[in-house]
Amino acid sequence: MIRLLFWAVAGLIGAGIVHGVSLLAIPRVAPATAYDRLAAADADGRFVPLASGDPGRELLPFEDTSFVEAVCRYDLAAGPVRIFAPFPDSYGSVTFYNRFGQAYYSLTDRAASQRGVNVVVLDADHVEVGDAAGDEGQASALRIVSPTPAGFVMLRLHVQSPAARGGLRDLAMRARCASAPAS
Amino acid sequence: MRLLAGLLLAFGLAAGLGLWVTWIAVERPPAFGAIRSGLWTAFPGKGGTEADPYQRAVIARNGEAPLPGSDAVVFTTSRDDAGRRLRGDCDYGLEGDVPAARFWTLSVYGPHGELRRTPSSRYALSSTDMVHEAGRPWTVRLSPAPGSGNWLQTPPDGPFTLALRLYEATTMSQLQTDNEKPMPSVRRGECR
Repeated sequence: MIRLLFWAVAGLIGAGIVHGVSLLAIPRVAPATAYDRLAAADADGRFVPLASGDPGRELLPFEDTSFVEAVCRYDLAAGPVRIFAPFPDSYGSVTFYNRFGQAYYSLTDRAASQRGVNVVVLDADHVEVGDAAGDEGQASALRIVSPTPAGFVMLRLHVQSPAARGGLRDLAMRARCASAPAS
Repeated sequence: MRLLAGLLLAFGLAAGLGLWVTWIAVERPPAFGAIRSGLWTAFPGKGGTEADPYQRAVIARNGEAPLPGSDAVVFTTSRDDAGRRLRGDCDYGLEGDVPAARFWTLSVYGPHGELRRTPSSRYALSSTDMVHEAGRPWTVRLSPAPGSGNWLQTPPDGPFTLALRLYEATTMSQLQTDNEKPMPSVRRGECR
């Protein structure tokens, strides 16, 4: 009986370990993260407006249809990525997500000095290379470090009234997302 | 032989129970870090890097890209004031104050965050595009049947979920303690 209890306790401790490890592994093994789903938008290295308010065609759950949204997927293997996000008079935000759908940086129109923001997304290696080279060329852009080599950027522009949607879509088309030389 | 049986028991229990608890945790995630206000619940830490491992697993599994709490606080409810599941074949009235924010939006979803087609093709209302008298509570009519004023069309049948997003909301601590301005109520009206 004591022996059975011993193995049962060992099993319970093991269950705790299996639970912890499997929970932490889910973001890495999940088959359809937001990054994966956005592959269907053909938005690698460029911003593409997402279909808004079209049931069955939405790529991500819990989409706020009072926004015009555009997305760009990036991969830092080819070097840093330079982002330009235009903002309207109304609310706009640009949010940087890692490979697993967690936001690691966000800017709104209130943080932008002009009608948009310039951001360079780098990984830790690019930062070292850039620092060593002096990196004068990108001084005007905000530099942020992506926690994962791949990720995506969401531009969200608030549609204050339905009549404004077309203009905001045109504005979203001006967003840029392209590989930039490291130095 | 006894050793083998014991090892089998321990490994079987570890794998079976451990994976089952993980599955339950993702299907029905624990409400760590939740803010509750009336029938509404928000997870302000879910969108950012401070999300806990349970939230991270749910985000990845459901393919979500949640808003960081610094952008918006997202309150959701699937139930009315009486605790009944929100149903497409019933009318509802949303009424009350909304915590201070730059603006807010109200969206209707299916149970998994999907959009469900409605004749109006309008799935969200924005406070910037709503009729509201200063000093009075906000009112929104939720119904599959067309209405005037602040009306948001709900799917004609099946369960649905409401999301109320407060963009550039007041700080979290105020949201948690601001009892003078609770979130709006959702009262059920006529059912068909």
